[in-house]
Amino acid sequence: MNNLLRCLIMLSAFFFGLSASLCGQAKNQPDSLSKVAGLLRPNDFFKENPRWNNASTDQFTHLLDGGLYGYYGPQPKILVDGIPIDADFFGWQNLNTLPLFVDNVRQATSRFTPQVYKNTLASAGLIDFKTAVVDTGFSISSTLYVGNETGDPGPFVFDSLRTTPNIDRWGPDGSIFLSYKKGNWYSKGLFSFRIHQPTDLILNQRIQITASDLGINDEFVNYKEQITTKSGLLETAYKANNWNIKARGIYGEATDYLFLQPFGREIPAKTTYSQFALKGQYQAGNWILNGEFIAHNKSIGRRFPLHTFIFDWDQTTYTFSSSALFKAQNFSVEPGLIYERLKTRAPGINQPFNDLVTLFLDSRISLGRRAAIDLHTNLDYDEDQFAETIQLDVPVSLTEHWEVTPSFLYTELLPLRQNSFAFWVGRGYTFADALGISIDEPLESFRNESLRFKIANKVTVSENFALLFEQQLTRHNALNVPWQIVRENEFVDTLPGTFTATSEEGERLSLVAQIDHSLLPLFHQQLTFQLQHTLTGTDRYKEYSNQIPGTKISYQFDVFPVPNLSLSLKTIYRTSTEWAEFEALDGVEYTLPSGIPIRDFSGTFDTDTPAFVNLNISVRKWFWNRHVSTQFSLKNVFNEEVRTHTLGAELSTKFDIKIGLNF
Amino acid sequence: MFRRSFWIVFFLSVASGVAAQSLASAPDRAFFDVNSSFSVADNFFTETWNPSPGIHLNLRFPFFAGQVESGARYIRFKGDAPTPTDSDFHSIFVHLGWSYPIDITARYQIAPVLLFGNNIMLFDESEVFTNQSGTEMFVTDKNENEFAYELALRNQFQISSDWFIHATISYNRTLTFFPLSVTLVSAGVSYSFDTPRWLKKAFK
Repeated sequence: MNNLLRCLIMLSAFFFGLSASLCGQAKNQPDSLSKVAGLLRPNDFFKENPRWNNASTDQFTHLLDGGLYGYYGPQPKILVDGIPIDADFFGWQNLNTLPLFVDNVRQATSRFTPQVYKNTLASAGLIDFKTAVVDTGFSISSTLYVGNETGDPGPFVFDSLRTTPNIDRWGPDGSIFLSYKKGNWYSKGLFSFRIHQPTDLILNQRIQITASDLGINDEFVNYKEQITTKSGLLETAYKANNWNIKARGIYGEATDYLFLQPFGREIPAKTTYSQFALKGQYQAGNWILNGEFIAHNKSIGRRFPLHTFIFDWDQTTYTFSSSALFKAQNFSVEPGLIYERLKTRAPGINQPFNDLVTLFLDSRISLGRRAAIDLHTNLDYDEDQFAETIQLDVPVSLTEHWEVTPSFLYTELLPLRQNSFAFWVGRGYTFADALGISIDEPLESFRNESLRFKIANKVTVSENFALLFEQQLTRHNALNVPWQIVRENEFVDTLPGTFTATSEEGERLSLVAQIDHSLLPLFHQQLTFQLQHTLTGTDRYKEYSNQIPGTKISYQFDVFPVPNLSLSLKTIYRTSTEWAEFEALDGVEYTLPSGIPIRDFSGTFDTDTPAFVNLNISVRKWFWNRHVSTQFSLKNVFNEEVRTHTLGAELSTKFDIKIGLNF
Repeated sequence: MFRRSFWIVFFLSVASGVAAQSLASAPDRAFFDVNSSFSVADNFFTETWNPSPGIHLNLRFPFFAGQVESGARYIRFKGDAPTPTDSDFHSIFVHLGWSYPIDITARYQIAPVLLFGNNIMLFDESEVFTNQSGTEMFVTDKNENEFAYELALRNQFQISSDWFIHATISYNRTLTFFPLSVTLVSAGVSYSFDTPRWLKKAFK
């Protein structure tokens, strides 16, 4: 009832704002995230788009799903200024390790369908962070962020009858950004670190003992549960009238607890990635020629020298790509080629390298002023088999205010492209044996194959008021579902059971209704309803789909009452989800290690995560000609049980402070 | 203790009522406050950890209709937790907030104050709970910080062109699992000065 009441409040707030603004006048559309309050860490950006489904065990790293492959499929590609960064370790992708100066992010573009985007094959959608244009002269900026979840023990930690474990500690995060621009040339660099302590009771014992089991018993007493990420970026670019070139080097590392789904719990690890990228563009008449080279390395190593079980995973990718875009008045076409060589070094992997080649073609034909045909297609080859993707959109303007876009998508995904743990174990990677994971042989490696029909209706009521209705039916002919039905263990919660990777099939229906309304520069608001429902499918397919919330309602209201002040209200309601892999834990109590003479505090595992309303309020204020900015956020205002993974930490009411300097 | 604090606040209120001269604090004046506080209401937290008199430094500047405030208060808590470990700790409440001064007379103002901040707790020792065989342990951190808020009512009385005395009653609550509440009465002096030009520019 409470949730229903809060949803009604959300709706009332929206329509109150709407009716007030219809009396106003149309202004510009929003063009930047730089004004929005509450964007504190890179992970906050995907939350700006309510269509991303997400789940997290530690509230620091999130599994994302764009509606096609679920949480255990390929993760969305992450790009910064159009160049991809691969920080995906067997589906564990932490956006907080990205070399991003958050205050400089102007847009975060999300795409949810497989496609080639700026010469990068994004099989499960993408998020592209577009950063601010460098100012002329020398600039320096820095930020500092700390967050605080309520509910720590305070001095009662000394009272054995009242003590409670610490709950997650957020930050401090720090970033520094330097840039210099003169004429057509600029250079920029940044360094950032982010700290998070996942000490919530539901994680506490599991992380402590897993770390101990993996070989650090000697340090057990002083073991600190902390995730630390560090990342840096150096970039230089030159832009002439009809050509430009950009070179970029990045490095990132995280001492982390990598949640390995085939293991059923976290493993302390150190993940690193590094990249050198060179990108150029040349324009000649109606042609734009693009070329890109990327050398990228990622590794998963031991977090502590004493660790005995380690990933020893190292993968280097060399990517060459080129494309040629031809643009005429009613026609555009862009053919292109991507070549990738993967060198994978890990115990049991003997193949020196794998090659992937992708041919792609994007085109658009305008049919008069009211219709067009968009075709996006690519053919992917891994020396063994082909995978093709074709998407056809036909946007038709029925009236001046109403556009209908029927869309068809057929996509296949190569197992090598998915780069999953199951794929490499099937090719000899021995880490599963080292962890004691029993494998239901053979692990199936096959192409994913999906079909999708979508109809989108966009009604533009006025320049600042738009409605969107989308219905889509997705048919999975073959969906690769890795599955680990864990066993319950008193001390570490889970022990891995038999691991399988099977081909599942089924159909999903998705409905989206969105109302977008702005009266800039005063405010912008957006209300989104999203329904996701499984129509048919195998039992495993249905269980896998149940990890995704069936209904989500989100409302966002950004208001800018005066030029240097912004307030933001974001709230999301999502229904319960079910995690069938963890059925053995259902109803089991979790505590700190037994025998310690302290107050008995505990919780109970539940394979169903609760439905919740998460209301966030943020304020951002700039001072001194915008040289100083301050942000204050209050998250989970109602202190509801905000938990998105059955083994995951709960977010209590949380307060954030962020200070930024810019000269 | 409570009676003493009541009379301080009452005295300032009565004294202000008979004063009829103009208040020197123009809208663009800034204030630097120094005061000492003492706890006036007992609860299960303050009965276990006895707060010493606190020292509070605070800066106030004109901001929108009222004043923006920022400062820190230090209190030493000495306690008798039911463990042999020394559980004394230093508490530093670092805060930011806003107040709305209301002129009662030419020399007397009251101001409701709302502060948000972090209560940084630095414990003298950490606690180690072990099982009987000593194989399993629960080791606590030596430092802690938690969000806290404070509601206050400040009475300010002008004694010269730049100097003021003030007395404040405040309720501070730290949102730990078992919330830490302290009710404080404080008295001190304030020095008023023209808001520096650079600060005015920054707030603009």
